[in-house]
Amino acid sequence: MTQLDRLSVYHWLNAWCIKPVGGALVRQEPEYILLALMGSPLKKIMLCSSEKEIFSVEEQVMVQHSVIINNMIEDGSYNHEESKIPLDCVDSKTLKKVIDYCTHHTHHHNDNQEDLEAWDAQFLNVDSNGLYDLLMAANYLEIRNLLDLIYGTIKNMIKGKKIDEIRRIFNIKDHGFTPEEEEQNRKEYPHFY
Amino acid sequence: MGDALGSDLISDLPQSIVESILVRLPIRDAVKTSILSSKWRYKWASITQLVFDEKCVDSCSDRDVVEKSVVKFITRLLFLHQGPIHKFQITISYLQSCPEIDQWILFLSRNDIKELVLELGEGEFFRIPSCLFNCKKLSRLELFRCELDPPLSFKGFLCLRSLNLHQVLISPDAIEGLISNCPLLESLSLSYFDSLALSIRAPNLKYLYLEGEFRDICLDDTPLLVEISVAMYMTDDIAEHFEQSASCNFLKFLGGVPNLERLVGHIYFTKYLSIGNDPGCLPIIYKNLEIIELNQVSFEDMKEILVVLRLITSSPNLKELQISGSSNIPSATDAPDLDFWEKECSSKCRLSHLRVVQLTDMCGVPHEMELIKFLLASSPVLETMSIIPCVYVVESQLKMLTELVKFRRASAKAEIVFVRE
Repeated sequence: MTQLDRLSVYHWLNAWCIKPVGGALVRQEPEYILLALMGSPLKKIMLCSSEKEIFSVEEQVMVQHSVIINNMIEDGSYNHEESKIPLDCVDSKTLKKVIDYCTHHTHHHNDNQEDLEAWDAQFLNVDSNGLYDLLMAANYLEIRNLLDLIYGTIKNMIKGKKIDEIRRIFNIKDHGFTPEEEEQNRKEYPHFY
Repeated sequence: MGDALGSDLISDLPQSIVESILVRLPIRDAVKTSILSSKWRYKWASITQLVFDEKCVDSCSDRDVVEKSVVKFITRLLFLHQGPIHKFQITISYLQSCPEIDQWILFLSRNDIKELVLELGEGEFFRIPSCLFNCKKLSRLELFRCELDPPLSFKGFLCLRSLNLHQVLISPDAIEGLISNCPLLESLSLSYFDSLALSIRAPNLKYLYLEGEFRDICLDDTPLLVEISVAMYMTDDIAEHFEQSASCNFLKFLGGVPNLERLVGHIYFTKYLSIGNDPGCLPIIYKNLEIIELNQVSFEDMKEILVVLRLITSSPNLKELQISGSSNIPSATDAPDLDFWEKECSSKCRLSHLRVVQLTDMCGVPHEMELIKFLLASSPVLETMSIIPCVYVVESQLKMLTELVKFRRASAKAEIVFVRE
């Protein structure tokens, strides 16, 4: 590759797709690259996970869903040219999922209710640790609709179920009651067990 | 959250998250978590919303037993509860008035109650204890089948935004006082009051819903009203009163609501508005009124038709109009005064935003046809007009259609949908 070629590639990368930032390459979603190539520069912001991985997201997407990020952008504490938003309590895997959720809901908000619900159900098809991490992240970032979704899922794990079943679902191995207390409870509310 | 190798993550979640989950459960499931584990013993006890319905205790065939069971459940729950209670709702048809309810309300009045909904069973009306009037933070109050008697020293609920009284025994003075002493009141709903004459002063009121036999309603100070829905019933008593009344009901009711966006009337509402002297050309323009729905309009009563016309022509931004006729089979009438239409509807009248019109229970009487003619001629952006004829007049449907087809249409896009069963 000639000197000129490398320079023009660098410029192309810099302007449209991938920014080299402090040595790291900022990740881009394929759709954004396509849109960028089509000549539509979307305003992006950068989120940094606890593992110091940087994610670039459409500003509009995050501002629509996360109250915390919306406030940061509005009060001007985020400078587009340089800064990134550090999210020290969210790991990369979870952050990527959160971004997926927000992006899907922004781009597909006109879809019919059934399709959106099916996507949400698939989205939450994760193990217990994954659900916990998503809950903490959504709580921290104050993403109302994701929180409601997760609350609804957890609520359904409790509603109408027997105590033994709930203990199994949530891995409550030691109920912490004295044997007398547990026996008393079982006697008083037999239909709950 | 269940893996064989996983750990119990849920029991250590922050209390605010736990509460958000518990509050979404029916009260019975929420309280049940107290026997889940020792960590969970009191997590339910600080939820701030308590909603009790028919399902909160086991049902059984003996009504008395279930009632006692519910009373015991609620009393015990309140006793074990910790912290503020912001919302307390009872919707239980088998719960009758009983002394324990007084104690519950006393307890709530000491725990920052903000929203109180009480819907008890049919039977003796529950007499609301005076401690309710000490609930300084009350922002929403809904009472069904109760007796309300504010003490003389009562200065109002300063935080109340929403008031819904359904079949409540309260003196007219008390209710006027209650409304005007709640400065933040935004939403007011009064249903099934007997022969109420009422003057409403509520400078922040946005939503008004009335249903019942009202003798007289005057909206004295409600400049911010955005939505009004009235279902007015009639008794002989009230009908007589109407005959004698000279004041203009239209202006008393709709004269001071310039920001109105939606108006819905049922049964005798249009008749009520037509009583009294004709206001002539209205002094008020409803520039935000986009939806008008008037049901059971009598197209044989010129005064009612005039009310409808005045409303339509004073609403330059009207988008949607729904009118239903009263389904009386038209009697052999005297020649209807069709000149009236030429006088009242100038050909310059344009309803430049009217898109959707629905006319139901149409019998094909001359005034109905004139209204349709007027609407078609004055609505340049009309998209759909649905006409649903009254089921009793099968023969005149063809006649209606024949006339309809002749009418000029200002909108090239207008579709007329004539719905036949």
